Amino acid sequence: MTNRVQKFVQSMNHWGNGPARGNEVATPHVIEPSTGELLDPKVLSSIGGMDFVSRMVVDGTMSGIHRASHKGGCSEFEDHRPYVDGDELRHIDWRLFARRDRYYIKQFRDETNMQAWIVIDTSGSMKFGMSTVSKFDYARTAAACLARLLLKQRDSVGLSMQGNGRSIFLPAQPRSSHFQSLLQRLAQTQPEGAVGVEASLDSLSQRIKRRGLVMVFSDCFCDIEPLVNRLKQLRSRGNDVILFQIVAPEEVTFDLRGDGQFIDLEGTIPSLEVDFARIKKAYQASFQRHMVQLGDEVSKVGCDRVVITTDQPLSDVLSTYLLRRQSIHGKAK
Amino acid sequence: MTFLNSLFLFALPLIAVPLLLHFLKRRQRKVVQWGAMRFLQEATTERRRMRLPESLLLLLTRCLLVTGLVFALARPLVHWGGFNNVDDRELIVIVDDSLSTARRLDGEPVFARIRDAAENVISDSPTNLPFQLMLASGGGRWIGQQPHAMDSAYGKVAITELAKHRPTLGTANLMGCVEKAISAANDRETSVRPRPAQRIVVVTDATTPAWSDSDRGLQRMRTMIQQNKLPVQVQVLEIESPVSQFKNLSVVQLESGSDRVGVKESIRLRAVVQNTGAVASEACRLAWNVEDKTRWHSSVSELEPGESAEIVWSTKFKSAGPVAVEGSLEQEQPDDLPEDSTATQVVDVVDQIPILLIDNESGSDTADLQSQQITFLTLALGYEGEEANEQYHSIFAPTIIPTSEVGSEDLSAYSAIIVVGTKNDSSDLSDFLLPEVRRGCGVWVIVSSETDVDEFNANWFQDGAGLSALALVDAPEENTPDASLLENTDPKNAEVRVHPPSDQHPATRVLSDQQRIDLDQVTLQKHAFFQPLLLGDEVSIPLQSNRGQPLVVENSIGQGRVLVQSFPISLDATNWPVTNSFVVMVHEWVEYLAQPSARSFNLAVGSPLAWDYEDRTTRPALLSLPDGTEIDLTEDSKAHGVSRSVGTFRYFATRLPGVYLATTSKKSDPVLEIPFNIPPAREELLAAPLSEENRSQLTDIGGFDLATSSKDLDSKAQAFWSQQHKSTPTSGGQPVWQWIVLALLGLVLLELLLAGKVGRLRGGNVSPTSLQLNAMQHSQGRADSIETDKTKNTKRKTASVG
Repeated sequence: MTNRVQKFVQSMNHWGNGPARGNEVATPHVIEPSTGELLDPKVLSSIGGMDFVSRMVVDGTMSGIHRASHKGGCSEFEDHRPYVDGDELRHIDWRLFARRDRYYIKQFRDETNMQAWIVIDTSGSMKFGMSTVSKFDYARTAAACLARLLLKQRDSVGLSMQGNGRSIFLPAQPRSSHFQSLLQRLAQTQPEGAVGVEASLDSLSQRIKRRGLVMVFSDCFCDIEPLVNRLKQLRSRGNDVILFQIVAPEEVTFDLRGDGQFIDLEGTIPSLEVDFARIKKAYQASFQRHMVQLGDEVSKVGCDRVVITTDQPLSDVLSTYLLRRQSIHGKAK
Repeated sequence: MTFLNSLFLFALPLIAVPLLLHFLKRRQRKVVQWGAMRFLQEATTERRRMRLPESLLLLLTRCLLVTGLVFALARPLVHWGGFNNVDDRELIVIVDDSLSTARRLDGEPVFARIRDAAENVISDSPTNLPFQLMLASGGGRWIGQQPHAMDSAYGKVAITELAKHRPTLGTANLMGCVEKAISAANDRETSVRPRPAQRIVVVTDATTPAWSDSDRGLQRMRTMIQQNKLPVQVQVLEIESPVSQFKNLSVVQLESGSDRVGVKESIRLRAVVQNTGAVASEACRLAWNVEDKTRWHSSVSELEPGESAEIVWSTKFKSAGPVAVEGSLEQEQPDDLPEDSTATQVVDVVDQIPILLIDNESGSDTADLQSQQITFLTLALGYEGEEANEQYHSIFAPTIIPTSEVGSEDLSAYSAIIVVGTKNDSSDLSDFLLPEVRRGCGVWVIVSSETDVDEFNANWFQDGAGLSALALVDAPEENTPDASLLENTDPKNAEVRVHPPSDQHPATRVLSDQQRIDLDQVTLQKHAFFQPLLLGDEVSIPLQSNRGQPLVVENSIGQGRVLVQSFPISLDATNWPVTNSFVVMVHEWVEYLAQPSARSFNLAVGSPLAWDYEDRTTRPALLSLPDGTEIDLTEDSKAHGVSRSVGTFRYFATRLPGVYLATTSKKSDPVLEIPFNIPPAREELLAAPLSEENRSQLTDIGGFDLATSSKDLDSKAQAFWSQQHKSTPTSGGQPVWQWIVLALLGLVLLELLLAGKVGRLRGGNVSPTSLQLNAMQHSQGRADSIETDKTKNTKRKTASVG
């Protein structure tokens, strides 16, 4: 086990140098890392210095660095706005009424903690990894890193992984001890079966009560419409949804030599004997069609989508994404 | 289909190699556990209608490549369906056109019947059957290059040529012609085509010379046909020939004593007339024609069958040049074979023939003797020194030089060289003479009376490589004439005399005439001694003493002749110069020695015609052949425009007897006519019908049939063809390996293309994942832009609240 983890860490370190080819027979990496092993120090060091900024202002029960949408007391004054019917009278700034003879409501910016939810696809297809680590390993490592980052800034982090008889749901909590149980769940879970990420999203939708951040890790090789419906549902309830689509480089390029037999990791489609070269173009066309359609649908519902290939260094991907997010939304003070 | 190297077919299982490689590769197929199966499934559904995969095509190409290579190495021959047809058969008609076929029967030559019969044989055969004609005389001459069908243009040309043909003066060797026809068919056998089955029809008048070498030829023919089991049928069609009433008188021989004669020198011509017919001939005349003008008539008496008469005519010619003398019988009633009633002899009339006398003896003590010898020799030729006697002189014009001038003299201009004396010998002289002897110049060496034996042997004998055929030895003392004189009181017994020579040797033919020549009066006082002949030595000795000592020894080197005389022609050694036989001897020997360098105008069949011309004006430009055809002799392009001093005209196709007349260009003045004569074969003039023995020998050969009418032969011919039709060819066929090799080249190209394509497909074009992903990532970009818009909207709302 230890060797595998070391290999994994090494591969993470060498991602920047491109995928290590050579193992033509694709066997998905089955890694069961310990809770500590999921946290790559390099990844954490590269993203730890940055604050995780939610794209949307969410309410928080704890005082955090996130801006709350409500304007309450003991908070830093931000602005005035004209009174409208329905506003509470206690929020009226009487001093300003005295000067201008009009009703104004005082607005405050409050720092509150955020609820973040990690949803990971545990279908069999996530087991695939030919020249790199499996997509699931990549996903849970990324999830662990982000969870630690969120918890460090006093946000709550929850986890939802449903499918093939398992039902893992950890409510969002801001405690650091919660992080260990979260990592334990991540490490013990192995992807299998045909149940996709939709089940996890359904479970999350039923249990989520506050608006927050939902981070979905999946290869999205399921049907687009059910997935998008669930994302849409989450978005409609005011959640910020980030879809991390994780794919293996071979699934993108289909750079395989010779011919061979393909066996479905999810076990739903019978095995196929194909000539790789002959089918390459058609495969790429089909794959691209799916990606384009998914991208269109996801953007329509206002979700953020990040496509990551498993040969990309995780630290680079996350830091680049967070930097971009920060540049778009600005850093909360 | 047959194979030349069928062993290579055992390599055919090699075809399994590409198959095994293919299936082994299939067994090593990868198994991939794949996540994105839905796209793969869609892709395979789209590619459902794909063509035969390139890998299968490649496998097929490689299998074909192996098979083609094995087949090409095995060299297959394909027998196409229509091969066993008329192309496998041929009809050869050998037409006897020898002199005997010119015999008249009922006023027309037998050859006309032979020709008709030959045409009938051809016309009775299937029109598409290839046939070829051969004219038998002169060793057999094909009409046309190869067999052609009768209805083809070539076939019609051949029949037309046969219709125009006339009998020749030549003789026919029919057995040789049959062999030639069989050999020609053997040569036509190739890997493409089997040896054709042959029906050979010989149409002949069945006379003896046609089957002359029957014993040896028959044996050879029997071996050829029976042992090799050749598909050959030989049919001899005999045409009736006049026998009982055949009336013929022939000039069977016409000859002169010498082919070369001087201007205004008398020449004696001899004709032999023989009755070769079956009935007695009447008295007639023999006309002597010179250059188409009758110069004399000789009478020929009645001759019984087989009887002959010799007629002699002497004449002189006024001008130089080759002259054809014709002896032609003039009969009141022409006989049945007029072609042999005329004979021709060509005589070369010359002004003079230069000869060289080399004074090879220096020293004052022998000067008188030496000058005596030269004087005797030149006087015998009718010259005083080099000056010709006005009353008479020989055609041999002497030039006298000392030995020291030999090196600067053009020896090739002389027909004979007389070396007088051997005392001043040096090897240089014999070295000068040897090449001249080889080209045909005669040399007469007269040994000095006191010659040093060792010196002579070193220079002239040279251990057998010199001009002399025998070496000299020291004279035995007891046998020397001088010693005999001293001891013996009877001078007659002591003298050495000349043994009468043989009349068989051409150099002593006249000298042997004891009646007219006083050779018995000649005595020798002293002479050198040749080494005694050993058993087995074959040395020609034209003259020897009465004691058996060789006096004159002959040697032949190259084309030339050498006579070495062991005694000098001086009065102290012999009294020969004062006898009348001396002049005869000198003439006869000089003529004998000069003979090889003479031009030949009377030739045998097959000998080339040759004529040395001085310049272009005497160069032959036209050659008339005995059958009347004329050949333009084009000038050698290399000599065009250049006046060559001496050239030689040669013509080799002299297979038929008769007179060949070469004529110089009409521009030359006067127009020179050079006749060459090839007399008819004597046996053809004496042709007789085939005996029963000859016939039985012919029929002993398998496949030989004798018949007198073509109808008798037809049935056997039909049987022969049908028999040949049943037997399938054992060899032959169309070679196809070159096409296979071409196809292999194509397959190699195809294989390379396919292999390249498959390799390219399998290898794939590896491009970075990020690039491909970016290509698909426009949706991501759109997501970002939406996100930016949403952020802007939010900000705008916030600002409006503010």
